[in-house]
Amino acid sequence: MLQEAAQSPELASTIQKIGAGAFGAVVGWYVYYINRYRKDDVQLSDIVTLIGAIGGAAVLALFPNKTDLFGAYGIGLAAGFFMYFFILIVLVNKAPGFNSSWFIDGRGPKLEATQELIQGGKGMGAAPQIED
Amino acid sequence: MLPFLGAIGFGLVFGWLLGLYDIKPERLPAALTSLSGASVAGVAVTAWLGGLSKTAPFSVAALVGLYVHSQWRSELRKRYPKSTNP
Repeated sequence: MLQEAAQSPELASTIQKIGAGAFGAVVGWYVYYINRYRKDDVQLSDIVTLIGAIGGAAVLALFPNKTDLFGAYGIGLAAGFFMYFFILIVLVNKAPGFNSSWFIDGRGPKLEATQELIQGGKGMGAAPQIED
Repeated sequence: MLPFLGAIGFGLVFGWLLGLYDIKPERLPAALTSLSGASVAGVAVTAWLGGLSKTAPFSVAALVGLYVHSQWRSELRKRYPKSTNP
């Protein structure tokens, strides 16, 4: 259906544009997620990979050149990406003991006496590095 | 209008991602070459998807994204210097 719309871009319906935008939002959200859980310092290859993800083969196949669908995708991409960032800022600033310094290098409060890191335990991110 | 806004969206995300790339003074030439290469790739993708006319809003948005991100990081580093505790 999207490809049909691309052949006559002026006929792209509202629902198709919403779909393209929503798809972009999911990709944008995920791009931020992938970047957040990157283990090493950012390399050029990471950026090139992300460019591939943003404007990659699937996108080229779905949203042919110069159509409104491409525009909706781009808007959704930015919305998803920056929505993740915005929600992260709100959550970090609301979490007790955390502040914006977390964004520099993941600084946080010390564990309390009743807390410990569990070997192999894993929250949303990578397992913690526990020194023996 | 929609492709124009889409190019701006692409540019903001792209510029923000470029802002992650720390430039160390001892590797300045390599870093500049890398960033230039990535920028050419970004512009090429935008030109392919949105047309040549959309490369201008993309580039401006990318510069804005890059500037805002690097300023934000630099402000955070100033406000929260590295701890000197062992």
